[in-house]
Amino acid sequence: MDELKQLVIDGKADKAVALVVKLMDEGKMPDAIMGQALIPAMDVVGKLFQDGEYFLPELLVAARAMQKSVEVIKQRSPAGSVAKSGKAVVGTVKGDLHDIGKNLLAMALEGAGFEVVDLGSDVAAEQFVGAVKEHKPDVVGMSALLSTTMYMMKDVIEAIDKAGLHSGVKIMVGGAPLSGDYAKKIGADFYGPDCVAGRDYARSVVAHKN
Amino acid sequence: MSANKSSGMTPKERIHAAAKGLPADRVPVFYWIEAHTGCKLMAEYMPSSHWNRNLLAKFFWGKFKSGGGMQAGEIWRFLPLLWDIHSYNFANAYGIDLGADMVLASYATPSYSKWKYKQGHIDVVDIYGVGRKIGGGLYPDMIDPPIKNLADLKNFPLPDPTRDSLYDIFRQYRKQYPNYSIAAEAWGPHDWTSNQMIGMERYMTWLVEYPDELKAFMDRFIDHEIEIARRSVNAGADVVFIYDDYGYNNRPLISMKMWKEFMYPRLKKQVDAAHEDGALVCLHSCGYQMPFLEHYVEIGIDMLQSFQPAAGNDFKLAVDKYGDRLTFITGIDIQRGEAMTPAEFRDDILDFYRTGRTKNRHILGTTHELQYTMPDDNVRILFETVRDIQAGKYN
Repeated sequence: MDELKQLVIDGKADKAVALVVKLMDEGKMPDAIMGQALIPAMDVVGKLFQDGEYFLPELLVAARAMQKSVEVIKQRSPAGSVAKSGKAVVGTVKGDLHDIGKNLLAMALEGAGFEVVDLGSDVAAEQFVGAVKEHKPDVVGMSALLSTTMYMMKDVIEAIDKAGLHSGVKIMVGGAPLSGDYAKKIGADFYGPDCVAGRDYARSVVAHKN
Repeated sequence: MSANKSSGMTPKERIHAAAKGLPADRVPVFYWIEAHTGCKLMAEYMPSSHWNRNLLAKFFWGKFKSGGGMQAGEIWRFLPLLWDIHSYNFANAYGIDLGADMVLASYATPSYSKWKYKQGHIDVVDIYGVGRKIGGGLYPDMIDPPIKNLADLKNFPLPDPTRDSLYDIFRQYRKQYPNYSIAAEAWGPHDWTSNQMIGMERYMTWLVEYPDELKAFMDRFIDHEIEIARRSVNAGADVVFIYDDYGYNNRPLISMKMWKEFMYPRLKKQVDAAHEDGALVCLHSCGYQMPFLEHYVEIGIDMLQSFQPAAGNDFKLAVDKYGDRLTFITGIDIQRGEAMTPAEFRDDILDFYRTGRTKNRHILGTTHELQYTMPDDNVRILFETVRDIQAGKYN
């Protein structure tokens, strides 16, 4: 397990996948591989990122190693046998086609064992509302890269409020032009300066529910 | 057209003085204006010196505004952009009417092909082969990067830089604005490659996994951009404006070790070539810039734009340490300015101006493209404050 953890931290996707296969062949349970190797690996990666030792390239190769490992686990396990730590809906707001921030958040959440419903980019308020109704997530994560499109986040939050859904879900926002003050002003529950902060907040939401 | 003509120096002389750390008759100014914002300003703030542009601007802005801005239908979202693309960057040229000393122009305007109308937006392909969507947002966003694998990376044909019509804009601008600085767009090793040609995620992983292949492509790309810049200068530009976003909020996008390995030598090659061609170099780099400054000085970059305070950049510290060796184009904080009161915004601009004037190397400029979301009172105070500075009120 330690070796798998290190392979994910180092972003060695092919070797990590091969080791996951070997561990499963040896009878290791999916939850054990997730809980003892993959999720702790991404915790280390998140810490290295926040400490300024890892940057986007290192974060992305590690996240990809994690994703590929999880895919193999899913393929080799009966449907629903891999426990999820929570559920999230993520998207980039209407008018904004930049998806790197949203993708990083999705990867970080998946790395923490969340089921992630990715709405993509250029997502309208009503699509967010529909996804919250359908998937009943613990958190909604919205991203915007442009100062003009960050205003769309307010529309999404108002639409979720108006649909009476906000009491059941926490809304987090992030992206280059945003700030904590702006997030508070538009009624978001959390502003994350990076994807790791978003992941940690999502975890705290689920922990609080439980 | 502007107050510049009555002053002692021409706008171009003023920009060049600031870029070289020489005294100027006043602080030079640079406005960078987004297309919808250009329409708004012409319609509601101050008409441009072109009556026909004013009519179109008023019409487009009226439709965009009454449609709820970003909620307006796609057609009203993309028409101002389309107009900007096909009218020699009218929004930036309008900056001269507002009192700017330098205008920024794109060499490839207009140069899209394979136009396809799709449910309210237009898909196009630019000269680099990048698939774009016009009408999704306010910009022609990349939706299909042309380089998808290592074979593409090795063999991808870059556009022919010898097509003379690509540089018409500089000839036209030089004729129209003989005494102004004309900045010509070029791309550095990182930004266009990552965001447009390869796609950010793929590019970031290739930095780790295929460094040699990526470097070989960057070398090819930089030689191409050097040729573009050379021809832009020959056509009338006097500043090479290199885009390369290296920063994020409070941190670089990639490690400094990686930046020095991949970007530094190629950026230096570009800067050296522009200087050999007799042009000044301005680097546009978004996000956190503090760790890069000493390297920019070593490389010989003349001017750095946009130096955003919102990303964690400390202007006082930067001017103190590097203000005698690097010119900063900054001080009109269009990001934080939107949330300020008009009085706060004025004081903020003056604070930057007073810090910048402690050395000769400051050009008062927007920290990115001015957006239509800037409150009207802040727009008024912005231009009023800059005009007052230009008139010597705060000397």
